[in-house]
Amino acid sequence: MEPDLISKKDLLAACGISYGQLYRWKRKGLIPEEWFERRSTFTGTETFFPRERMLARVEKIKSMKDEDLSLDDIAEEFSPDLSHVALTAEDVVARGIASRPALELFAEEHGASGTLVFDEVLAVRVLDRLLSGGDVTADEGRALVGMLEEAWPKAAGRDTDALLLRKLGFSAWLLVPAGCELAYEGSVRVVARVNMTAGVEELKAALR
Amino acid sequence: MTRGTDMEQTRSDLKMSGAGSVGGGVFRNVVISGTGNVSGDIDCVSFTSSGVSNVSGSLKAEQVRISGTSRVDGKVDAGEVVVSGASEFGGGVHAKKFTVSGASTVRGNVNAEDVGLRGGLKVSGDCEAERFDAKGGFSIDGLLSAQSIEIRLYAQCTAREIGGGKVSVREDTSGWKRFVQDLGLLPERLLRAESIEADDVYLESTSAKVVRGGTVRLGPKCEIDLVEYTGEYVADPSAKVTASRKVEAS
Repeated sequence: MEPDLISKKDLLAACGISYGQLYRWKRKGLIPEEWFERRSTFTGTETFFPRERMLARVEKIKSMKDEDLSLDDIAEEFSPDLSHVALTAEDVVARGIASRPALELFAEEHGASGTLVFDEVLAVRVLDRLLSGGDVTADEGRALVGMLEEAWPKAAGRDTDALLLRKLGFSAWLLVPAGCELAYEGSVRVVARVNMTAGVEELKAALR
Repeated sequence: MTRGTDMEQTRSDLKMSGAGSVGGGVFRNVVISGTGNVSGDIDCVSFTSSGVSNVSGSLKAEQVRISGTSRVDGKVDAGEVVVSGASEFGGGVHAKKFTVSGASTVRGNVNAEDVGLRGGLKVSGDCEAERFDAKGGFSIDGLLSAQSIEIRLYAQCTAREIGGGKVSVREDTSGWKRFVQDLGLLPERLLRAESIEADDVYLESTSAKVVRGGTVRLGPKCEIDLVEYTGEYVADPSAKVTASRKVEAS
């Protein structure tokens, strides 16, 4: 058994919680779907969790319940509802989320709209960070906006990296599983690689 | 996208009788009694279809009543969904109350507080509720999870996994059906699952690889490979259990 995993029944015994509680927390989104790992064992299929993260999460939920928070409150704490995010360009600049040049470039590609929703703010922010890093050109920045518009919704909820490849003056953006290894021909350069999940977390913190 | 102008005064009714097509939009009451095609998303207060209706987008409503044949390709997000006809939902169902007395097929997940089933339900993903009360048949490709799961077997029922607070599975005991079944005229009524996990488990006519729980009681016609329990365990003499063991509770 891998030491960094804990089986469901060991978890229940270690934390003193019941099946009913665990399934309810899962329904309420208190425990991320990806943490449930089904594996075949000699006693049939069992569910495992990442040990440290899961134990910490259960303790956090229990202590929040002791503070009399409802499960919905706790769920909101773990994954704030971002569907109501709507920022104007002024807000984005004023809150230091992205610079004006990045916003202008974004608007050129995406079209200008009154307010930006979460995914749009995220795209602007990622664009801003990459432009200020100095490796990405304005044209590539525009291409990034187009790529995210198309590919980001399909990757919903998955941990991904945005990746810029260049070969002989041509470039292309990819959205790939986070941290995955790439194999490519020698004349290809990976110009930039950013983790989108980290971007989401940063932005959530900035919006709080 | 429509946003903000959710004032009910600004919503108008949409009535379709006969055959017709319409784009999506924001409405108060939508009533389809003929053949209606809606191309786009609907956001309405109530959606009633007693004819044949197809919605190519999503459906958002406080009340959804389907007594004819309905197909919604996108997501259904509603307060209450009542299906007494036949329905096909292509993008999952999110509702406070989901009641099926006809037949419903859901691609994606069902998320509801109450699921009431008096007919047939097929779900290609997970079915999650606080209360799941079924008198009928279902097939759930993923997880069936609820605080309280009450199943009366009227037809074949399957779920990959079942989990929750309390799970109770009982045979339908009405006399004539049992008589007809004994003659071999009805399909076998059985619940099949890979695993069943709950604090309080009572099973009849169930075939599962693993049953884990606090209290586990097995009635007639159960076939279980492994039972693991932390509290009490009793099994009907007719239950076939390959192995059972008590495990440490906290």
